Amino acid sequence: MRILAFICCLCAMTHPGQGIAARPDRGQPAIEGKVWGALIHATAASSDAAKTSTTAPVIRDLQQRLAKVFPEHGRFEIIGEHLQDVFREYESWVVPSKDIFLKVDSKGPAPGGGINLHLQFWRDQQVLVKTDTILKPGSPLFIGGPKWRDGRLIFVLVLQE
Amino acid sequence: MKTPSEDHDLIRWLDDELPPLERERFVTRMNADPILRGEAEAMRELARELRAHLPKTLPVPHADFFNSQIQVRIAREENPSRASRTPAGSWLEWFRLPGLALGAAAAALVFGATFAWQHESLKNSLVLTTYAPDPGVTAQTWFSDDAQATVLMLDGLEEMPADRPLVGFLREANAERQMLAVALQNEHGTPYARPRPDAVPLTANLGE
Repeated sequence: MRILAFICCLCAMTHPGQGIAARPDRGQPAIEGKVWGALIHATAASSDAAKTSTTAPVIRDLQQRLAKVFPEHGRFEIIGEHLQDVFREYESWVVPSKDIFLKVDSKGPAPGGGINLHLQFWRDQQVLVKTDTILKPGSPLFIGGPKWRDGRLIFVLVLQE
Repeated sequence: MKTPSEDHDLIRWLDDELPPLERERFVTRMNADPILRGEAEAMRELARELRAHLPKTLPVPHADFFNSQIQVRIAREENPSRASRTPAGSWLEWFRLPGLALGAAAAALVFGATFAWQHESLKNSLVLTTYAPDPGVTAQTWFSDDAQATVLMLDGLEEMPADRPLVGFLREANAERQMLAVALQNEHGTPYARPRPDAVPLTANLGE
């Protein structure tokens, strides 16, 4: 099952959109929302850090917010990012990196806004955690992942407003 | 065991709904019956506790369902032959069970606290459940007020090998041509992968 899911993930990474295109009779799939996911490497603060904005419309003050949750780190470097539609009927994959990624299953709109989601946090072919989550627009979810080199990998997931 | 009519009087007395004459009669009977008086005082104390700890006004949760249930009740009242009715005060027997008064008060407090917390967290993302298949991994979750973010912290994960390069992507929804490899440098400054010439470099700090 894991292997099958990972193969699906790899297919989604290398041929995005083709899984949906294989069902032309159903038309465009219904979309619940759009999420932005990023894999971030948090390390100790460095004074020579260049200051550049990300390429995606992200939440404000992300660096400051991360620093408040991970105070032992001062430098947050984006390894990859992915803006992905959340499909109503199909699973979605947020793949900012081929090494660490997220499976997203919609469980419908949440009362008061947002989406009920079932998330699976994957590392290679291994599910690290499964979680049921209500994701609200603009309210980020920080997932503290494995350590890497002198820091830690953090997955950020944001439902776009 | 009290008859339903006594229950009814007791509740009306608690709610201060007895006419003066009936009230006087009930008080007289209560003064003559220590058990009844004890029950009445216990219930009055419970009511006072509930009023003290619950907000004055609460929006009705699931108002649609609530309204529909009221309509069902009205329909039953208008057509009693179709409804199976229970004695008017029978549900009050619940309050007579030992310890239930305290339990009800505690439940009311928990409900009030939960409701207030839920109301506060309506705008925040929320982690409902977590399951880590690896028993060595623990998942903690909380909401950081400082960061205004929901946190799911995984501890006990196997560390990623330091010599393993991580390759990131830049991908936008349904845009397959924007994938690229990220140039991550090792300690000698050698990139693991070079971004495409037209790609946006991703090894950047987050903007302020």
